[in-house]
Amino acid sequence: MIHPISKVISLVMVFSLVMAFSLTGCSRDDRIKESDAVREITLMTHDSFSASARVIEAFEKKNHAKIVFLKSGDAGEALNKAILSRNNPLADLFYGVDNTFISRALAEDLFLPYSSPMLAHVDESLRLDPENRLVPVDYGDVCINYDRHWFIEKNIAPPETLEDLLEPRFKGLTVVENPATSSPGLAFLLTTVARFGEQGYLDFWQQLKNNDVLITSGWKEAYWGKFSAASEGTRPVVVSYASSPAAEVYFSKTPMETAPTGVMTGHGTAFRQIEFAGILKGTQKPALAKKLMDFLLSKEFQEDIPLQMFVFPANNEATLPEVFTKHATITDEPAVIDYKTISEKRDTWIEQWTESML
Amino acid sequence: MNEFVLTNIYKSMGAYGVLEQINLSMGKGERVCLLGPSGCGKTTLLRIAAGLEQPDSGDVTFRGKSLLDTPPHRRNFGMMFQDFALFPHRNVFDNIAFGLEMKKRRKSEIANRVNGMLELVNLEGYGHRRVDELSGGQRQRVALARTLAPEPDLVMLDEPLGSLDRRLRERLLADLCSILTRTGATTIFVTHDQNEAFAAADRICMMNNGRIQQIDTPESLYANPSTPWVADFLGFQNVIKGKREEDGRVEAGGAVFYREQAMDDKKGAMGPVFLLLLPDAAAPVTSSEYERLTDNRIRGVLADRFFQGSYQKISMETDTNGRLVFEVPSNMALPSPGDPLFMKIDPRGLRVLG
Amino acid sequence: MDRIDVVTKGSRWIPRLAVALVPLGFLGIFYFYPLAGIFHRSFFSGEIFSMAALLDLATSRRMAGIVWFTLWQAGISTLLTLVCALPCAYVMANFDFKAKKLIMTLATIPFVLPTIVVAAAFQALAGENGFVAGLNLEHSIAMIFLAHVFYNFSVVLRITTGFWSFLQQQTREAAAMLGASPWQVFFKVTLPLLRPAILASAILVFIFCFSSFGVILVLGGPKFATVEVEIYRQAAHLFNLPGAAVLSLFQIGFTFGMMWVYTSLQKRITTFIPQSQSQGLKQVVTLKEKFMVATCVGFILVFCLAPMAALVIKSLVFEGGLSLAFYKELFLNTSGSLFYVSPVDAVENSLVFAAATLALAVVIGVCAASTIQRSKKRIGALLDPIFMLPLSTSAVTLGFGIIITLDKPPLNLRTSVMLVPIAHTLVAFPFVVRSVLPAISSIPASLREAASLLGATPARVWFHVDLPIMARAITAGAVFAFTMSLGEFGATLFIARPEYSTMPVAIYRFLGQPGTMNYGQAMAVSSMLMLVTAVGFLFIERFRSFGDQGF
Repeated sequence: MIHPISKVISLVMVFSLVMAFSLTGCSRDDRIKESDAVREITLMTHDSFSASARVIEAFEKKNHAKIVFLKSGDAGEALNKAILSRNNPLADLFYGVDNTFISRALAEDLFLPYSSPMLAHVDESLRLDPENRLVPVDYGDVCINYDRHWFIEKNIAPPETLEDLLEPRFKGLTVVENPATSSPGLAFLLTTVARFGEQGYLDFWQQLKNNDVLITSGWKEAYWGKFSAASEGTRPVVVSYASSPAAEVYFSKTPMETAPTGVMTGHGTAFRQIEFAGILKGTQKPALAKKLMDFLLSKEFQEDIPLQMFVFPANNEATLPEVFTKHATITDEPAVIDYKTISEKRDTWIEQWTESML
Repeated sequence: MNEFVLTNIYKSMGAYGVLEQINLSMGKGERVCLLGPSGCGKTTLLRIAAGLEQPDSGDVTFRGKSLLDTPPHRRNFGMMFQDFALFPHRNVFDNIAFGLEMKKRRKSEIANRVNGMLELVNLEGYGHRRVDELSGGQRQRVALARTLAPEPDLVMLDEPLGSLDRRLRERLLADLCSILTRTGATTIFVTHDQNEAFAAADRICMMNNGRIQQIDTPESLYANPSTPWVADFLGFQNVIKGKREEDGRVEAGGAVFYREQAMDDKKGAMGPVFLLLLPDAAAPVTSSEYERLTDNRIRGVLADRFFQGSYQKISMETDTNGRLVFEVPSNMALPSPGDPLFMKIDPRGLRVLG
Repeated sequence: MDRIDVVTKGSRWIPRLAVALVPLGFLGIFYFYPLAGIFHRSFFSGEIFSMAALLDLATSRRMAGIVWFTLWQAGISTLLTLVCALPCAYVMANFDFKAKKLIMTLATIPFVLPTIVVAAAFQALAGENGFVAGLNLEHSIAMIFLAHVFYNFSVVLRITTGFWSFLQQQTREAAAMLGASPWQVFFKVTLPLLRPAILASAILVFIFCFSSFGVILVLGGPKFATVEVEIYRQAAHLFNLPGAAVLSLFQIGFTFGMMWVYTSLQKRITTFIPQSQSQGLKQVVTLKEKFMVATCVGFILVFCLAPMAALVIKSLVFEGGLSLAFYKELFLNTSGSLFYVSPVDAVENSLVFAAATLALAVVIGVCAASTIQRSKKRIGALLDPIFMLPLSTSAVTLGFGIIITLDKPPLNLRTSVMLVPIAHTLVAFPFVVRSVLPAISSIPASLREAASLLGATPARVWFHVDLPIMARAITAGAVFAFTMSLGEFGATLFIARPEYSTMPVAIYRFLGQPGTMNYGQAMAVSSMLMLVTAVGFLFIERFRSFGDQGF
C-alpha cells in the first residue's frame, strides 16, 4: 500500500511530465513534415510584427513553402540575436531593422545584397542602402498625439509646433518616452535634434522639463498609463505615431467620424521611422528567400501592412485602407537626420539627454 | 547456539571517543541490556547492530553470517527509537502496518496482524487516531507495536522509557517485559537506569567509555561487580583501596581483610586492588570484641544514622578508610552519633575488584 | 546529516549522485553553458572589447549609483514585505477561519500579473486621478516599494505560514512549561524556530527586488535604474555586450556571495517531529483574536484584491455600462491576423507550459534540496547559492547566451518550444528549493532510520517518509512554479511562434496598438489570467489535501 499523498503527488508528476514531453512531440511533427515538397523558410522579426493569415497562406501555397515566424523580442533585441547567431543563422530573412539601427546592422555585414525588381515601386527617399542589403518595407512617422476631446473641452488650441509645448498653457500636459529604452522616444529625441540642432536641442528639453514634462520608460506606459485619451492618465499630449488615430478608429466598436486623437506632424515635428528587411547571410535557400523578399515588397503584402502593424507600406502602388486615408497622416516635411550621423551620435545624444533630464 | 554476535567491534565516535574491543554474543530469545551512563557508546553500539552505522573494524554476525554488507532494511531487525520516531503523517494503524507493507504482505493479513498488535499493546480501537493525539505512554506502545509487527529476528530498544515520567515508566516497564516475553523476541535494550536493566534483562552488559566492563546476569552482576566503576555505577559506596598479599589477604588502611573463597577470585593478582564491602556485611561489636578479632574488622566514629523501616543506614567515619555506609537491622543498639563505633565484617560480604 | 547514508558507503553513492546530477545537469546545460558562451564572446572577441571600456564602466559614478540604488531599494523592499507579511502569516498559521484558503489564493495572484497591467491597476487606485484622492505615488520610489510588496507579499506569507503551522504544539508546550508570557515565547521560541523560513523567504524577495526589471521601468519610471534595467539597456539598445556581461557578472557574483554568507551562517535547522496542521489551529474566540483576524483579512483584501478588482471592472465596463463586449471580442480575429490566438488556445498554452514547468521545477527542486541536505555542510553551502543564481541572472544575457551556445543538434533549442518551460523552470525551481529545504531539514533522522529498519529501501524511505512530510512544502513551491510560469512572458516572446502564444503574450499584443478594444481586451485577458491562476491554485492544493489525514 502506497501512502495516498505520495500516490497523488506521483500521479501529478507523471501526468505533468507526460505533458511536458508531449510538448516536444508536437513541436516536432508540426503540421508539415511529411512532404519534402514543402520547404520551410524562417523570417526573424520583432514582437510587433503581424500579418494576415490569408496573405501569408497565399504565398505559402504558391511557393510550396511554409514561413516560420521567429519573433525575438523588441527591435533592438531581435537585431542583437541576429548578430549573435550569424555563424549559425536562426533565420533566412530578417524583418524590422529601422533607420536608427541600420548602420549598425550594415556594419555587422549580416545581409546579402538583393535588388528586388519590386524596388521600382519604392520611393527613392526610403532607400538608404545603395547596395540593397537592407531594403525598406514600411515606414511611419513618430509625432505628438493629442486628446481632441480634452482640448475642445478646455477650449485650448492643440499644439502645432514643438515650441508650443513650452508654452505655459501646456504646462504638465506632455508625456514622452525615454529615448534610452523606447524607440518612439528615440525618434522624438532625433526630431528635436533635427529641429533645434545639436547645440540647441538640450535647451528645448530643459525648457520642456521646466514645463513639467513626464517621462516614461516605454510607449505602453505613456499611452496606456498617462495619456488622457486612452487611460486614467491626465496628460493630453503624448509621443506616439501618426497612424495612432487610425488605430483608435479601427479598434473601436462604435463607428467614428473623427478620431478621438489628433496629431502634430507639420514643420518638421515628425520623425520618419523606416523599417528594412534583408536576406541573412548563410541562408540555405537563397532562391526562396529572394521570392519571399519580393513578396514582402509586393502589393499584396504591402496592402496588408497598414491594418496589421499600423505603419505605411513602402510600395507606393499599395492602396491604403479607408481608415488610413481618413485618419492617418503622412507628412511631406519630416524631420531629417542622415542615418550615418544618427549612428555616430545616437549614444552621445542619449547620454546627454539622460544627464540633463533624469 | 549464539544467535547474534558482535566480535571485536572498534568504532570512532568523534567527540565521544571510541568503542573498543566490543565482544558480545546473544542466544535466541535472550534479552540483553546495555547499561551505562550517557555517552558511553551504548547507543552507537546499538546503531552498529542495527546497521545504521558501520564499525571501523570487527564483525557483526547473525546466525553465523556476517551482516556488514547487509543494509538495515534487509536485516529484519526491529528498533524502537528513543523519540519513538512515529511517522506524523500516518495514523496509528498505518504506523504499525508500515513494516508489513514494506514486506508486501496482503491487505487482510496486514489488518489482522496490526489489530493483533493493537490488542497486544492494549490499544484496541486506537487505529484511526493520529499519532500526535496520543499521550506519551500510548506513543511508546504504538512504537513497540510497530517494531514488533513485522516479527523481527532481533528487537532493539533505545531508552524505550527514557522520555516518560517515573510512574509511567514503572507500569510500562512491566507491560514491556510481559509483551517481550510473550513474543519471545531476542532483544537488545539500551538504558542508563539500572532498575530498568535489572527488571528487564536476562543479562546486563555494563559499558563505560566505549568499553564493556562486565557482562552478567543481574543477580551475579549485583553480587559480584567486577570493577570499582561497575560497583560505583550500581550504587555501592564502600569501595576502599588496598593491597593484596601473597596469601590472598588484603591490607587496606591498616586493617586486614580475608575471605578464603572471595580472595581466591583473582588468583595471582597481587598488588594494589579495590575492596568492596557490601552494605549488609558489617555488624557493630563492643570494643573488647573488636580487639579480639585479628582481621575483618573496622573502627571509626558514627557520623550519622537514618531510619529506613526494617533497617537503618549508618554512616561511619573511619580513621584510615574514609567514610563507609552500612545497613544494619533497625533493632540493633548503636552508640550515639559522634561516639566510637566498632564493626565486625562478615567475610561473605567482601569482594575484591580488579 | 543523514546517517543512513553513511552506511555501506560503497553501494549508496550512485543513487545519490544520480539525484545530484538532475539539478546540476539541468543548470549546467541550460544555464552555465550559455552564460559561459556569452561571457566568452563578450570578453574575448577582440574587435569590440577593450579593457579600458570595461574599467570605464566599472568605475563610472553613474554605475556606482545604479548598483547602490539596486541594493538599497531591494533591502528596503524586502523589509517592508516582511513587515506586511509576517503578521498575516501569524494569523494564517494560528487561526482557523472561513475562506482562509481563498484569502491565501488571492494574496498569491498578483504574482502572475504583468507589470504593465499592475501599473494600470495602481494608476486607477493611487495615480494622479486615482481612487484614493491626494495619493499620487506615480513614478516615485514609494510606488516601487508598493509594487514590490504587492508582488512579493505572498512569497513570505506562504513560506512562513507553511513552516509556522508546524510549530504550534512546541511553542504552546514551551509556554505552558516555562510560564513565559506570549511575547517571551514569541521572541525566545517561535522566532528562532521560524528563522529558517523567514530568512528563506526574505532571501527570495531580496533577490527578486535586486533583479527587478518591469516594476522599475514601468512603475518607477525612467528616473530609476537597477542593474537589470541597465543590462537590458546596454545589451538591447546600445549593443554593448561586454558592458552587459560585466553587469551580469556582478549580479551573479553578488547573489552568490550573499547566498554563500547566508548558507554558511545559518545554523543547523532544528529538527522536530512535524505536527499536523489542524491540531495547532485555534478557533477565533476572543475580541482580540477577532480583531487580529479581521485586520489581516482586511489588509489582504484592500492591498491585493482592490487592484485586481479594478482590472476586472475595467474589463467589464464598455461605453459606460456593464458588458461582456471585450470578452466576446477576444473570440474574433478582426484583422485576420496570422498571430491571432483564441482565448481558449491562450489559456491552454499557458496551462500546458505551467504544468510542464511545475513538473520540471518540482523534480529538479526536490532533487536539489535533497542534494543540499545530504551533502557535507561545506559542499551544501556552495551548492545552495549555485541553485539560486538563475533567479537573479539577467534574462537578456541568458537569452543571448542560449542563442550562441545551444545552436547545434542535439541541443538546437534556440527555436524549440521546450525552451519556454525550460526557461520558466530556471526561475521557478529555486522557489521549490527554498520552500522544501527547511521542511526536509526538519525531518528527524530517526524517522528515516525507523523506516529503514522496518524494511524500507532507501528509495521507499524517501517515498514514504520524506515525500509525504515534504508534501506541504512541495505544494507551496509548486504553486510558485506554476504562478511563475503563468505570468512570465519574456521567454515566451523569445520564441513566440503564433501557435504557442500564452495569456501574457496576448496581453502584450493587445497593448501594442492604440484603440479602446485593444485596451479592453488586454484587461479581459488579465482577468482571465487571474481566474485561471486562482483555479489552478485551488486545484493544486486540492490534490494535496485529497486523501490527506489532516496532515
